[in-house]
Amino acid sequence: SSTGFSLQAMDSSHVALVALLLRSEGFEHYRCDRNISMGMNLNNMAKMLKCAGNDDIITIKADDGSDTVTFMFESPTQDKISDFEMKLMDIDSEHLGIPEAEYHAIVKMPSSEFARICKDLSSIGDTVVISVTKEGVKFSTKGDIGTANIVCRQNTSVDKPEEATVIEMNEPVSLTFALRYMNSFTKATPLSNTVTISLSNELPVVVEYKIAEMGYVRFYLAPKIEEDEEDTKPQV
Amino acid sequence: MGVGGNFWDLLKPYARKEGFDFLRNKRVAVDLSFWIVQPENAIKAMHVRKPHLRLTFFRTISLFCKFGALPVFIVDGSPSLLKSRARIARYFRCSGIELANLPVPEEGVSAERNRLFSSHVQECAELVELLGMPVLKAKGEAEALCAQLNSEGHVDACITADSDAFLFGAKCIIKCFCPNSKEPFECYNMSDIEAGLGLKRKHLIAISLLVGDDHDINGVRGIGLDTALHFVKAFSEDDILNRLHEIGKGNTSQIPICIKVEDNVDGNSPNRKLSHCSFCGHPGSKKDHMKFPCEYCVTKDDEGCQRKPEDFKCDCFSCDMNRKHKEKKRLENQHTIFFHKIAEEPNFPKDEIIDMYLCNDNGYFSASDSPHIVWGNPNIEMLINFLNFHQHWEPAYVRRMMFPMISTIFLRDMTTTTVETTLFGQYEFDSVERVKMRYGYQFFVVKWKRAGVNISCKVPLKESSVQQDDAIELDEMVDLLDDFDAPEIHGDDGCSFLLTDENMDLVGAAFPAEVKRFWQEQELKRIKNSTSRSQENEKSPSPNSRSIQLNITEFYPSTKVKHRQSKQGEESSKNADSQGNGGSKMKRKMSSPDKIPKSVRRRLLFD
Repeated sequence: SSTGFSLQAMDSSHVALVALLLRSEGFEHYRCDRNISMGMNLNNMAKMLKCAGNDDIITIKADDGSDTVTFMFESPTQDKISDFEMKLMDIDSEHLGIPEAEYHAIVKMPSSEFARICKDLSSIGDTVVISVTKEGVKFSTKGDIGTANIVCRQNTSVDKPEEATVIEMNEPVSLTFALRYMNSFTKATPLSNTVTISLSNELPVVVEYKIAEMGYVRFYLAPKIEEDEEDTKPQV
Repeated sequence: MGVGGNFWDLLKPYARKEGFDFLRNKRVAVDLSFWIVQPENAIKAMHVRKPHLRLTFFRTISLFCKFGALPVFIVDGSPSLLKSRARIARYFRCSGIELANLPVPEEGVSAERNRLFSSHVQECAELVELLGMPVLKAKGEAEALCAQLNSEGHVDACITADSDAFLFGAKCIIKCFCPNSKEPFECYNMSDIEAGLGLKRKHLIAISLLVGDDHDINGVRGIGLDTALHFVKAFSEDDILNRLHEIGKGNTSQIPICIKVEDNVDGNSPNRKLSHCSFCGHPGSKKDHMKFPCEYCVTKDDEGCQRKPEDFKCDCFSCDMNRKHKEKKRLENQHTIFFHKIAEEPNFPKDEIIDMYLCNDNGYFSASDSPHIVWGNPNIEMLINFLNFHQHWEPAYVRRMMFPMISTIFLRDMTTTTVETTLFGQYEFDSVERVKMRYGYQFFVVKWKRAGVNISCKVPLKESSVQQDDAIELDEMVDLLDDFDAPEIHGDDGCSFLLTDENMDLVGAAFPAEVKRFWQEQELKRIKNSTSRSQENEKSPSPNSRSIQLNITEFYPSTKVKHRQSKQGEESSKNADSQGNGGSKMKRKMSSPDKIPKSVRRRLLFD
């Protein structure tokens, strides 16, 4: 759209959702005459983008009604110009409407800390319970070999602001999530020093990484709910 | 305008933000000129054709369908002589012309509002009549008739930003109406104002007389809202206007002083202040206190008086009476000034203003008769002609925008009669598609099927692009004015459907069997998902995992209508292709079936 470049993708089981936004002001040159939606295979897109050097200038071009998108890579000295054309997919476009919600609790913490917590807990169990109270945020898991609890208290008195843990809480929140999705989310850690986790009871969690001043990557994960023992058994 | 002096700020603490269903099945009086003035001020720079008609059209449909309200539109009559004079004075004050040149309006003739505005009101009144809404004309102020209908129980609320309505007797005013938010109504109740501020209707009238209003801009010179409020609260509702009359005539001796002061102070009014010690500040002399400590300084026997602190205030009996006396004098002086200001005002208070506020005869119907308030069916053909003439809207577009109103009326009629089963004579109820969350409220997405006709969806690409242009242009214009959800057009297997968002109770009352079947299907789907998830959980090695993983699409529904693959064979073959080739061979279709071209749209909307 004219305001920026946005992307939305879901996993095959429809449990997690990712939304990416790159605002138009962040591009050196941005032009969009008409809103357009393109279906892309992300594996193929990754293959294309790997052909770019780390310092290359990337230009993405697409025409209305076309079935391909063009990635152009220029080296900084402009002595090498690459032109890659990727075929688009025709996806049954199921764009999800994500309303702007007010969250019961918002936790902002260093992204490396969050990645470490998810990695440590996943060696113990496969689900994580995230609880936010006045005292702080607690990550808990339980597995065959035992249990694990990690509590992060609010600390805003550190020297560097990106190392602070800030908790805004309107209501106590406690939610259960699958850890393997959380670990997948933390692959975005290099994008930002901080991560923002927004929670409301019985709603999906939002794990957000800012991309400089340009936009964000937001991961949405549906919670797990406790069931009675009888319901989990198959009925014959 | 209404009452001057930041009157709305006074009432601000008593505002209530009401939710979506606040006006459902409630009768609402709408001040039509207020709806016309608002967009003209906001959209002057934009090139929108007749924004007053556009806004009135979409807002009426929003009120009726989305919020379930039953609007009654009130049109202004002739303004009173006082208001004409005040309006002329306001105009001259803004333009800087001297008051000596102020023209006096002729007796018995009221100046009408400007001709352009009157024609806008007339057009909007005609439009809402064609939409089937009742329209009443007031003898004078529209908000006066709104308030009278509210007071007499003919309507449940008034939509107006004029604070006059409370003075005319309104009980519930909706000041702000923002259809795009979670709490669209900013509501003020007279009962809240009475409980919180202690002000009743005549109190408010007295305040407006003192501070100024539409009919007397200045009010009493030198009296603001705080002074007026302080004075008015001291009297009961029945007494306040009589007191103003007496003060206006200069009979201040009969007015009792508000604050009761003890009578024994009067006997000591010429009382001289006792001499006080300059050292400790208590009564007595410094010499005496040097020898013996005074009774006020409770110290040890061998020490003298304590030195008085800096902010010392003597609390002996004599000084206390002296301070009370001064306070009484100050209050008397304040009241004297207040009364003088009122008495100096010529012809205060104006009986015409009081009579106008208290008048219960603002409409063209007698007290024994009820006003004629009936909500009928919209006149579709005349409406199409009207909007084609004024707005240059295509008949297909008008029918599509009207569809939510027709479907709402149809669903309401289904609970009482079963005469007609089709909308526009061609659409019938098909099914409940899904539940939709909007601003925190749940709606049914209802699917309407065209009765008995199959339409071919094959259209050349050229028309598709033309249709896109039209859709984009129309969407932009609608978004700028007001939120409005046009029904979605959905093609499936050669048939065409329209999707509307309907109130759940309304659909449940009209088609209970269908709704029951829908919920059963939902329950069945949930059980199926639960069973499959539990099986997956049992396969996992960890026995402690007893929770059910929820699906992200349950929280964030799709904003586009999912194009279902009509044939299972095609679906399986596409899946095979994607698995085998990694999706590289899939190509984007040149014309997506989701974009319905203009000709199909035209056929859907029965040109």
